[in-house]
Amino acid sequence: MRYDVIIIGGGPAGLGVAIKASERGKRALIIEREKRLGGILKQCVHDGFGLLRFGEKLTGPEYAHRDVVTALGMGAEALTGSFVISITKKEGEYFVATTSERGLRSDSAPALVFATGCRERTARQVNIHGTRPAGVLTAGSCQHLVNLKGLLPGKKAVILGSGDIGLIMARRLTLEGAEVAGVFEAKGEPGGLQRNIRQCLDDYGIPLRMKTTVVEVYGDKRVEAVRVAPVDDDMRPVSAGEIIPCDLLVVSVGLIPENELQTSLGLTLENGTRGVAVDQYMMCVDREGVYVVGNALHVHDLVDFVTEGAMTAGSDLGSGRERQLIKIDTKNLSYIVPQYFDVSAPAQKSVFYMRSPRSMRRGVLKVFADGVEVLKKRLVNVRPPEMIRLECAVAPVDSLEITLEEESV
Amino acid sequence: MSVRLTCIICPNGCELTVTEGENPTVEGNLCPKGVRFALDELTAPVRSFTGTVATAFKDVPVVSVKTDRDIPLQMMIPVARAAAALKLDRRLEVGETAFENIAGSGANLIITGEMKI
Ligand SMILES: Cc1cc2nc3c(=O)[nH]c(=O)nc-3n(C[C@H](O)[C@H](O)[C@H](O)COP(=O)(O)OP(=O)(O)OC[C@H]3O[C@@H](n4cnc5c(N)ncnc54)[C@H](O)[C@@H]3O)c2cc1C
Ligand code: SF4
Repeated sequence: MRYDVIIIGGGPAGLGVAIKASERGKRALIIEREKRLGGILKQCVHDGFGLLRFGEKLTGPEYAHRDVVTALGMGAEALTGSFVISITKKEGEYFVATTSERGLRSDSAPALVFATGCRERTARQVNIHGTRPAGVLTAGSCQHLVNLKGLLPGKKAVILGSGDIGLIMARRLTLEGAEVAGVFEAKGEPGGLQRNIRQCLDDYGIPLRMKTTVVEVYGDKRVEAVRVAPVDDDMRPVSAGEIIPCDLLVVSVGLIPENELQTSLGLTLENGTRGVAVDQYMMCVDREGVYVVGNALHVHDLVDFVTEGAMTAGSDLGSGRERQLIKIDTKNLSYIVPQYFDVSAPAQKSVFYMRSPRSMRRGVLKVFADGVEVLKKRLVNVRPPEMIRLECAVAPVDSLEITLEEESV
Repeated sequence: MSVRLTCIICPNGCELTVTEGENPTVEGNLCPKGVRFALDELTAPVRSFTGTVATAFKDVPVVSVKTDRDIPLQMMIPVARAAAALKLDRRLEVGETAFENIAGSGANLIITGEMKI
């Protein structure tokens, strides 16, 4: 079948594109490999989603449910349980072949969206000695087992890494009756949000130890204990540490955009985000008509911003802009999305998402268009795990620069 | 005496400083909700419970639930224990009440996930 847009991935990002495109009368097809739409939100049973978008504190499944009902209600179509086998381009049209229980199928559209989410760094990617017995799980797999399968993967857990999913799982395991011996973070600063440290760890007296990591795992078939030790700035243990008996090691050491399909199309990845480079409408700079949204583009900490970016793509697809791109210059940012700006089509408002490389009590963001300061915004409590969102009406001709400076208190 | 707290009400996560006394004052909040949070937190902290309950259906072994209102922090564990003992034998819609007055907390458990696939 022919559509106006084919969206790969049916999480909040894919749904956001589908809703916006359908609203504009475009025919949208979502291709999702799982049986149900909603993406990772299906397993995020805790609340805190949607405060910015709906002004309500929703759980992950509720947020997803709203979008599924809206997207399908507006006429978007979805192929669930479907796997992409090939993507080809012919005369400005993208052909996507999929396979499912229903057999093979081919669809096409002039616009293609990657909304494939992110994956977790695994225990293999961190440097731990010892065996690899059962009972070593990523925080996301642990969340999947507990929240979707109803299984408790251990009675006494140690959590490595202070990312948000690990913090959320520390509370979840505790409420399900497991004991959480502690959360250990090799870096000097927690990877997760302060509010999650308070409501997931402090509330239940779960200790958080900084500059400490798991150096060894013990056990043949099943984890029996881990050794934790304090480390220096180069991650080298400074003492022998201590052995903690446990039957579950949960690894929460970060997320990376899922970009296998994108790289197979020959799109190049950016160093800062590990996603592709896009313009302010989320269209790939490498490829006309291809958009990347949500965690496949850069890892978000708030789903509300995932939806916002996705809707920006949904409002642009099919516009047929003759692009004239400039690279956005930055100072003192670990990354910015978009990385490029189409000066031929400045929007009424453009939104920029970025992260600071370090914590600052106070900071000031400045936007310079063609060398002239057009916006100045003060920030308080800047922290690398918290994405900075900046909205700005800007219409540069030759250059656009965004800078972050620390302000003395 | 002053106490430092992180407001958990919204993603801003403001760092609050509460000066205790007859008329406690709160600083560092970006909105009025932070004041309410800080005062509750020092006297009677409340939280919303989220989790899952088991079902009688193979295709959805558990479904996600939440309390329809905040409960005292010290009720989180008793509510979780009560939820763990439940089994849902009807397929309900998102937003429907699954169990009333869970663990005597005064709050009802609401279905948050889809049970129909
Ligand atoms: C384990 C985990 C827990 C998280 N917890 C939180 C949280 O508590 N709060 C929060 O705000 N954010 C959380 N996040 C971040 C969260 O991912 C985002 O908020 C949001 O869900 C991202 O939306 P998305 O649509 O980009 O990705 P996802 O929700 O991951 O959706 C991507 C979808 O694409 C599908 N897909 C991938 N590849 C293919 C393919 N080749 N073919 C077909 N379909 C494909 C996947 O099956 C999935 O359904 C979490 C992320 C992870 C990984
Ligand atoms: S004080 Fe207001 S803005 Fe700050 S975290 Fe609390 S609710 Fe959010």
